[in-house]
Amino acid sequence: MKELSEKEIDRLSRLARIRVEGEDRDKLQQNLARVLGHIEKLQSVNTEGVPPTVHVHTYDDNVYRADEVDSDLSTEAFLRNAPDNVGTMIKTPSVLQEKG
Amino acid sequence: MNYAWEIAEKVRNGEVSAVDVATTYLRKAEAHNPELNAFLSFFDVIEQAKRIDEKRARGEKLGALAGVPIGVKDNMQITGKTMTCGSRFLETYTSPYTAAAIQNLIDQDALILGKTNLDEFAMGSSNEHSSFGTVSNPWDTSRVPGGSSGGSATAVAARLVPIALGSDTGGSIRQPASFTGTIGFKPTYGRVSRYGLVAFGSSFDVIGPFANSVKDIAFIMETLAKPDPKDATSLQTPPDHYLDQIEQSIQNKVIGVPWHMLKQYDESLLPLFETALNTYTQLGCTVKDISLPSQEHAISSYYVLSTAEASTNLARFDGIRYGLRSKEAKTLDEVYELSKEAGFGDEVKQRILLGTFVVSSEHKDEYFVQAQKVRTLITREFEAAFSECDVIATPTTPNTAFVKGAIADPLSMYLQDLFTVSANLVGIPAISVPSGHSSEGLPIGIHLVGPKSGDASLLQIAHQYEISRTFSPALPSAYA
Repeated sequence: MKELSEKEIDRLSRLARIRVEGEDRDKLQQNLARVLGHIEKLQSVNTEGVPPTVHVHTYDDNVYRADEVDSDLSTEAFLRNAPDNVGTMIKTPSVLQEKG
Repeated sequence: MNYAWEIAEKVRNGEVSAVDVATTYLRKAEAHNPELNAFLSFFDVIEQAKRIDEKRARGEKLGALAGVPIGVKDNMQITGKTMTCGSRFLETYTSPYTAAAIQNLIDQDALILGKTNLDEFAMGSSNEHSSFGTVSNPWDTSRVPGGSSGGSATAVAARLVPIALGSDTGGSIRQPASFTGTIGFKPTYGRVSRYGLVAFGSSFDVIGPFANSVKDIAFIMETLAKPDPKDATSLQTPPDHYLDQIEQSIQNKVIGVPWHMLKQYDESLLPLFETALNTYTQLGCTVKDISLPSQEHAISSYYVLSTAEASTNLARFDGIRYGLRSKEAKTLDEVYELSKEAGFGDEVKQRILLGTFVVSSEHKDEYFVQAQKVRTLITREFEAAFSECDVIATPTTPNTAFVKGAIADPLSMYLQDLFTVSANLVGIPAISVPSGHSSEGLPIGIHLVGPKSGDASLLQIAHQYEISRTFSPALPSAYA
C-alpha cells in the first residue's frame, strides 16, 4: 500500500483549504493511500504518442451565443443565500492585517 | 396508470384531472417517505396541477408532459426551492434560478413533485453518503438503493413518481437503476443541458431519467434533449425522434459482449445475463465476442479525472457568497478551511484531496495527464468495437443491492462502477434495463452501451428487449 506522509496530508489540506483534524484524519490518510495504491497501476500503461483526452466531443469552432443580457438571476435572490452582507456587498473577515 | 405517457395522454384528453394525478402520487409519496427517505422535499404539486387543469379548461393546448409528476435529484436548481446536494454545506440554500432541463419539463406542463435524496454532491454508489440519511431500497429496506441518484431510483421503483431525473458522472443513474429494478438512462454527453446542474466532473456529468419502461424514457427524452445556449458543451445537433425509433425492429443488430470482463463475475448472476442475450438472439440479433483490453484501467482513469475535476468544481463552496460559513472563523483563511471542514462529509473531503493530489505540480504528469491518455485509449477501443457491433452488453453491476454498511472500503465501493464508468469516459449513451432477479429476489440489470449520439438506436435495442424478455418485472410488493 502506498504511504502518504503527515507532511503530504498537511500540504493537500492547505492546497484544498480544507482543515483535516482529529480521528477523521487517520481514516482519510488510510483511504487516500488505499485508493492511490490502486490508481498507481495506470503508470504501467504504455501511452507513448497517445494524446490526452480533454473533452469527449471535438468542436469545429468555439460555441458562441449572442451577446445579449438574458438572465433571470436577480441580485435580491442571490443575496438571500449570502452568509453576511452589507447592502449589496458580501461581507468577509478583514483581509488586511495590522502589523503587530 | 403507471406510465408517464399514459398519464399525459389522459390528462390531455380530460379523462383524469392533473389534480387527481398529483393528489394520488403526493399521498403515496408522503406515506412511504418515512421508511424510504427518497425525497428530501415536497413541492406545491397540487397548486401546479390546478394551473394545468385551468389551462385545459380555458381551451389551451397542453404540453407533452401534461400532469406527469416528476422527482428531481436535489443537485438541480429550481427557482425559490431549496437545493441541498445532500450536503450540510447547502442545507439552507435557496436556488435563485432554474436548471434548463427542469425548465424544459415545466414548459411542457410536467408537475415537479419534489427533490430526491443523493450521495453528497453525487459522490457515492450507495446513498450512504447523504448528509440527510440513507435511502432504502424498496425491494428490501435493509439494503441500499445504489447511488448517487438513489432517491430518484427508489422513488421510481416504489411508484412514488412515474419518472425521476438523476445525474450520472460514473454510473450514478445506471447502478441504482440496476439495484432497484428500474430503467436508468445516461444520454450522450451534452445531449441534455447541464445548466443548473451542480457540477461534479464537468467532462463526465450528464442528466438522465429513471422510469419503469423504456418507452417512458424515450417519452421524456423528447423533452429533455435540446441544444441550450447556456451550456456551451450541449450538443448543437437536433435530437432524434425517440418514440418513433424504439418501435422499429432490431433484426440483424449485433450485440458485442466483452466476455473477458466477466471472468470474475458472480456465477449465480451470470445466467440472468445469458438469458437476456438469448432474448436478443431470438429477436434476430447476433451476439459477438469483442475485446476492450484497456477496461481494466477504466476505474483508475475515471477516479483520477473525476476527482481532479471535482477538486476544482467544489472549490466554489468556500463559505463566502452562499452556503455554510463557519461561525468560528476569525480570518478569511479560516472561513474557507473551517467552513469546508464543517460543511463537507468524509467522502467529499477525500475526493477533493485525492483530486488535489493528482493535479498538484509534482504528480500531474504521472497521474492526471496519464489518466487523460488512458481515456484516449479507452475511447479508441470503443470506437473500434462499434465498427463491428451496434451495442455493447454487460451486466450493469458486479452484484445486486448490498446491505447498508456492508462496504466500508472506499476502493471496493469505487469498483461498483466497473461496468458503467467507461460510458462516461467516452461520453457515449448507456442504459440499464432490468434483466431478472437473484435467488434472493433482488433485481439486476443488463447494461447496454451505444456509440456517440446513438441514443435513439440504443433505446430501440433496449425497448425491443424489454417487450420480449421472458421474466416478469414484479413490483416490490409493498408498493404495488
